[in-house]
Amino acid sequence: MTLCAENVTLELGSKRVLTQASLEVVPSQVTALVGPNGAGKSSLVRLLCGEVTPGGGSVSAGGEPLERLGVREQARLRSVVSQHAAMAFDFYVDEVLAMGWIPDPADPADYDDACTEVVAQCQIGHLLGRKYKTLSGGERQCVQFARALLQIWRDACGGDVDVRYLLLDEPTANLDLGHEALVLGLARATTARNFGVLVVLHDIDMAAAFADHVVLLVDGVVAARDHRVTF
Amino acid sequence: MSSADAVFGRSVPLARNPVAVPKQIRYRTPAVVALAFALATAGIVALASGAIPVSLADLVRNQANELHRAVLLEIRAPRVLLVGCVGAALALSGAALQGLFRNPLADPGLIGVSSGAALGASIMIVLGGGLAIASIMAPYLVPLAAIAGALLVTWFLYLFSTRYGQFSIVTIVLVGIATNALAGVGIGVLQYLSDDAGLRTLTFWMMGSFGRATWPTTTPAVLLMLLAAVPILLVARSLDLLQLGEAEALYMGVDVRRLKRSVVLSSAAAVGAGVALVGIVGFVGLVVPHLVRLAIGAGHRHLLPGAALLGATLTILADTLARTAASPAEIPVSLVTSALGAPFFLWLIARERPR
Repeated sequence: MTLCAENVTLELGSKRVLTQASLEVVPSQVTALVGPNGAGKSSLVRLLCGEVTPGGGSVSAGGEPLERLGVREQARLRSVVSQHAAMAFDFYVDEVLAMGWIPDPADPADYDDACTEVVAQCQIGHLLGRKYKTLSGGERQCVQFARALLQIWRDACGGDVDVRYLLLDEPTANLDLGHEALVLGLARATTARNFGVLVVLHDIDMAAAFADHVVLLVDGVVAARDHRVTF
Repeated sequence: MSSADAVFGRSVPLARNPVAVPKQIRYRTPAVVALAFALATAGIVALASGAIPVSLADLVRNQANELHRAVLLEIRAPRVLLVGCVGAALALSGAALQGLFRNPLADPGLIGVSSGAALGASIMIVLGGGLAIASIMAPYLVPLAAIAGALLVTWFLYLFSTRYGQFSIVTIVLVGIATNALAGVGIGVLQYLSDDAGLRTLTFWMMGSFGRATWPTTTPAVLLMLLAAVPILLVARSLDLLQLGEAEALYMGVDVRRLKRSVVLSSAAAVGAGVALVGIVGFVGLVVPHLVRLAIGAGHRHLLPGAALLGATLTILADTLARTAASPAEIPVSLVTSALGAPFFLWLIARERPR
């Protein structure tokens, strides 16, 4: 029941980006992926999202190979907050949040309730009714985080796999200390909903303080992994 | 995403929240309905006005004489229908292409899709005469060639933009200039190559007018445009999600490759079918989606139907103006749309320029 990359190898053009890298995102736990710039962290996240397929090795969710799941199934299973989310047109924050919600006639879960709860938790109530383009980088990051939560907020219906994953690619890059603590705290809190969280961070101290597992990626190779970091 | 619900957004209501829902969002469904009424009104006005005064009431009460009946049913009705459909097709494709390229300046005319269609149509007009094809297919040949030309350009633009990074606001216009120039070369060569009869047909066609709209030529084009509009309206939600980025849309469950294919194909078909009959009508695809965005916001579920309705309304009004202002003579309708659209385009550039 994990989102799992096993011995994945990835080449972009002629450059080898990942070599025999393995990583597991475990439900109810936070895994931090750390490493220097260009180490292949984002590439590994893109593999786990099913955006690219590995040249070697495999990526699977709950034992099912990712390429056998459709894009919509994957979207209901995991959501992603990526580093840059610029929009060419003037959407309201309310509309951006609604984008996360995947309509499902079979499941009557109420968008209003989910949205109200997520907005309250993420403390972005004051941003509703504003245009997304007028927000600061940090505010946009918070809105994107809320949108990603809404995407997987619905109870996983049907299958026996009641597990979802939240993948955060440097979620704190634009944030001040207060919002950094808020977003990381929220990510941690989602593990109570049985979410498995993967967070890409630069700061190894923060990773150690915040995550259950830390994986260190250097030059496309997993250089160190540490279960239950304790200092 | 492919359900009718997704088109009008009933499936994803906006949250009731402590802050008042913005006016634009609250009023956007009534606004689209109002646009539909505006279109109906414009259609009636267009039918009623022209060189020969005709009473619609008489026609309804079956009291119109033969001449009036013919003017209305055989001359004005196909023309108004064609004008409306071309306007709707241009505005709808403009809105969809702007969404696809995530660029507010993507207009079928500006980026070269219309000239691609014109080149395709020219090739068929000049070189197609030798093709031995059943005459029943004939009304479809020029539109199909135009669609092929439009498709070629749109696809090329898309590949170009994926390969060399997303187009910046201004780059897309520069690429459009190059594409328009290339299509111009092609049409010039065709003019040089064609015999007298071919040149005559080509020249008349290039002047582009709605004046020759008759039922046999209008019906196939209208059907094509309606058919092309359906897939565009169905991907409204996917286009919304695409605004966050291609990768992000994929993460949110959008089959991005299918989305691109369907928008490129449908908008090329819609533009091509229109250009084949009436030549290039500029700026409708640029101006109309922006007006709608200013009024009811950027969400595609309302923007797309709104743009189609307003595009039809404005083009019908422009055409009515073109044929009544100097009646019984006619001003080319593209003159009217360009005169209104070009200043708007300048204003847009000034507004969208990255500061």
